[in-house]
Amino acid sequence: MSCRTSKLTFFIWMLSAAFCFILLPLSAKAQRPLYDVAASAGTGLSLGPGDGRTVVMMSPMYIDLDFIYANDERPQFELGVGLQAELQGRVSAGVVPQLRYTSGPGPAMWYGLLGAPLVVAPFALFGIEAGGGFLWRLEPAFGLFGEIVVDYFFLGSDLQDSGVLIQLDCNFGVRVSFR
Amino acid sequence: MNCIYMKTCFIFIVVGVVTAGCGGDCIRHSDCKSGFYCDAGYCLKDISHNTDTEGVSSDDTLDSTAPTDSNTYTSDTSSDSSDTESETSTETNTDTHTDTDSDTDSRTDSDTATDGDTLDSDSESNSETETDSSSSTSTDTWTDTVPITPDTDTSTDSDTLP
Repeated sequence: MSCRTSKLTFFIWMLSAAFCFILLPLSAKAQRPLYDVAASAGTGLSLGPGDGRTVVMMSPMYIDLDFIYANDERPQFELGVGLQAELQGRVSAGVVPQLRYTSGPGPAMWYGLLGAPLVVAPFALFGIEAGGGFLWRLEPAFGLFGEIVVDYFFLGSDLQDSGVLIQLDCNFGVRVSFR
Repeated sequence: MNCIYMKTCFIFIVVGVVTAGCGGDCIRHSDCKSGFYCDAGYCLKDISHNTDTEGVSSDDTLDSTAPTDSNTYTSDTSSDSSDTESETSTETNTDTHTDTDSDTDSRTDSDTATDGDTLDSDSESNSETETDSSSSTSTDTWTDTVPITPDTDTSTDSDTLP
């Protein structure tokens, strides 16, 4: 088994364990699910290998639609699934499962996130991401947010031979809560 | 530089890098146009897909112009022989350089002989004239001839002593 495959297996295992931990109820009482939907757009810097030096380019502008789940027993943990589409250059589509740890409910909320972005079309890309954001709730059910995310892609047919892709992106959007 | 100007320059540099990029044309294959792929930061034409289509038509063209192909082979052979000749001329140039060095050495030897003459007596201007003529020819053979000259000088010394 190659080093990349073993790392990928370990990462997927850790992510699955974290998901199971969040979904596991603390007690027998019924949980109240909390659903949020967030829509955002962003871009940033892309870094990759070049001819003996690092190539820096603008990341393709993308839009992101996130479906976020939490429960009232552990409101600081959130699970999200994002649908992402790059709209600059070639149009691509991807899925980003995320695990978030927030500062808790309130008008202002900080959070950190871990994810595993997977771009499926037209080329494949897979990697990990980490970042953080700030949500400012203008209303209990409506807020504005901004995120800074670092993506590290190490697998996929869209990469150069033996190359990786690092993206430093910022996105801004709105978030609606259904609670 | 004023702080405001530095900040402005920094912003322009960042915006320029972000929009135009630096260090190459692409990072991943999808950064290139259709029919191109990304290699070492630059978009290259994807030959693997085009060869299948264009290879058949190019083969047909070669068959119809078969005599042209044979002529091309003949010209290739002649060009190879010319390449060999040019290499030989290069070696000759190297030999010429070596000859120049030996000329310089022979001049040095003639100066040494002149010094010896000066020590013995002042009337050895004739031998110096011979040294000049040998240096104009500047051959290794002349250098060997120069050591013979001190024998003549010795006889001259014996004449001076009485």
